[in-house]
Amino acid sequence: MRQAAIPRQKRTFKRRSAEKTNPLAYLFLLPAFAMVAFFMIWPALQTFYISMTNWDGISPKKFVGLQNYLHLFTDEPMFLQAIKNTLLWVVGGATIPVGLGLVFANFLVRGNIRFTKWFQMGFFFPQIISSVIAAVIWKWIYDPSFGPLSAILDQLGIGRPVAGWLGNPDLVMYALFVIFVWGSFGYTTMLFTAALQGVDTQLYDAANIDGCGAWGQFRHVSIPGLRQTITTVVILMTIGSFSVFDIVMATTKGGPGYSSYVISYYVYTQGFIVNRLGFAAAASIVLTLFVLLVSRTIIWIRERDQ
Amino acid sequence: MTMTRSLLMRRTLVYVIMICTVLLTIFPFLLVINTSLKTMSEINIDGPLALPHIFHWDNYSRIWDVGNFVTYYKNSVIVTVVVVAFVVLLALLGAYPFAYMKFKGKGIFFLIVLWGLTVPLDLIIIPLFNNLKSMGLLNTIWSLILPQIALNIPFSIFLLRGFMKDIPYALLESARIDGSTEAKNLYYIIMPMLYAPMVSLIVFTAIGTWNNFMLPTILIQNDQLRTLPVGLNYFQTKFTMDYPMIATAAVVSAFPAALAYIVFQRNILSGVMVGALKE
Repeated sequence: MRQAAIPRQKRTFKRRSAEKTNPLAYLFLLPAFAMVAFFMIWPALQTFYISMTNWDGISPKKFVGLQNYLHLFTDEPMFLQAIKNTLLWVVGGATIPVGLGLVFANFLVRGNIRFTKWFQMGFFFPQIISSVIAAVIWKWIYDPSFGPLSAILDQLGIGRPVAGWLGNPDLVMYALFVIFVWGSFGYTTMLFTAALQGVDTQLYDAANIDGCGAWGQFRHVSIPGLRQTITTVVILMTIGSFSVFDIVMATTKGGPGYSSYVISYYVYTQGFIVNRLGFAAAASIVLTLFVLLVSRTIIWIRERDQ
Repeated sequence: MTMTRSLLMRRTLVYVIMICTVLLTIFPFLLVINTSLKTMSEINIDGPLALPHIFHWDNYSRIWDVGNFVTYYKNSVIVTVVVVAFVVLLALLGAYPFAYMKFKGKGIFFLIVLWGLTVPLDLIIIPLFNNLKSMGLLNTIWSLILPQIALNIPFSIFLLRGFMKDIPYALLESARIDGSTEAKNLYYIIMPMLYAPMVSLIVFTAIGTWNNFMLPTILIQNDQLRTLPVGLNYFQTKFTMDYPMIATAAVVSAFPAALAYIVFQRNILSGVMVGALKE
């Protein structure tokens, strides 16, 4: 009896939930998801196939299996350099702007200062303009003969690299990363400021009574209170760092040589300049896997800690 | 006494750090504006840091003759307006069922939204280029508009859904009992309550579209269809050594976004916050 009753109950439950399905929902979703399907999902699937072919974009695709991936990692020094640069960028991008954001947000919320809106607005300003404009400005700042940075260092009597910053293969990535930090720390500051305003002020009072100074309050109240936000911001910055393209494209174009190649720029040159579309597709899939792997790992570490 | 003095010291220190950082952040912009008012010979003689002897405002009239900036502006405006209009419409329609309706496959559809939030453009750009080419859309304004509508949809649905969920469900239920249709609910009940997030979404999408660089770089080869960022990049490679002109071009290009930022400051802040932190 009992056993018979259970399936029946399940069935009625199922029917009821089916009744609740409103067909109108699909009509509402249709335009948005048709666009997403046609311009995002379908191309993403095509990329998988293209990555396993030898293709110049015009003649028929030739299926080669995983050969492109093998070549990428064995005899493409440009790609390996791009991976190295991108990973360095991610490590820097997921830490330095996050740290700066934490410190400045703490100053803004806990520093007992005025004009906080103005400070925030100034910090965030580089985020608003196109990264091309930022790149154009900084390319000029770094110019070894006409740029202000050289002029400042010369006036202070400090030596500087002869080829400038963007022309020096050892310095170029750091010089570009400075542009990124300049452009992004206002964003992280803003996110942490919002989250920090939600932390209970009584916790700070309690910490104060317990003898915690400003640093202690930052360390023992602010940081634990922002745990969730820190994870989110680190993931956002990680994703942003992986897909850095504009800054490189509008300043060095990967140079000097290929010392400032990043994966995104490699995909662009292979796919649209030298027309090795199979390689470009494979590289873009490697990039996507990196993004997935790293952001999943960050979430996993955070969940394990809790 | 000593307590207050150390507090005062600390506050002064915080002010000094904050003011120095703000100055350092906006210093590049001030330098660029300064340079845009000089001539190249002044830079050669006085160096890049000196103030101009006379303000060369004529740089700002010359830029329109030297570069194709009127066309770039026009293209950017068209693309931005059309993309924003469609994104808002499709995202409103798309977010509504997630917040208020029951339907099969909701989980899968939402997974697609989440996937769309994090997918790098690189993963789709190569087939996208070839698909648009075979449809004959390459080097038309549609090759900029259609993909950007699609690329903005996941975030927009995510954002609007978050706000819609905050609207009390009972409001809709009672409207349904009174015989209102879902379309009417969306138009008469939900949209007026979403005024602030809608403004955020519009400003946000507009600035993102206005500043987009990778997509138009790849999909447009015709100078008559270049948008502002691509046009600026082209201009700087053409006028490599004329720094006052490049600086002027940079200022002219940055102006609309800077203005939008100042006017819609609060909406941008709340948009950023929700976009990143909700859930």
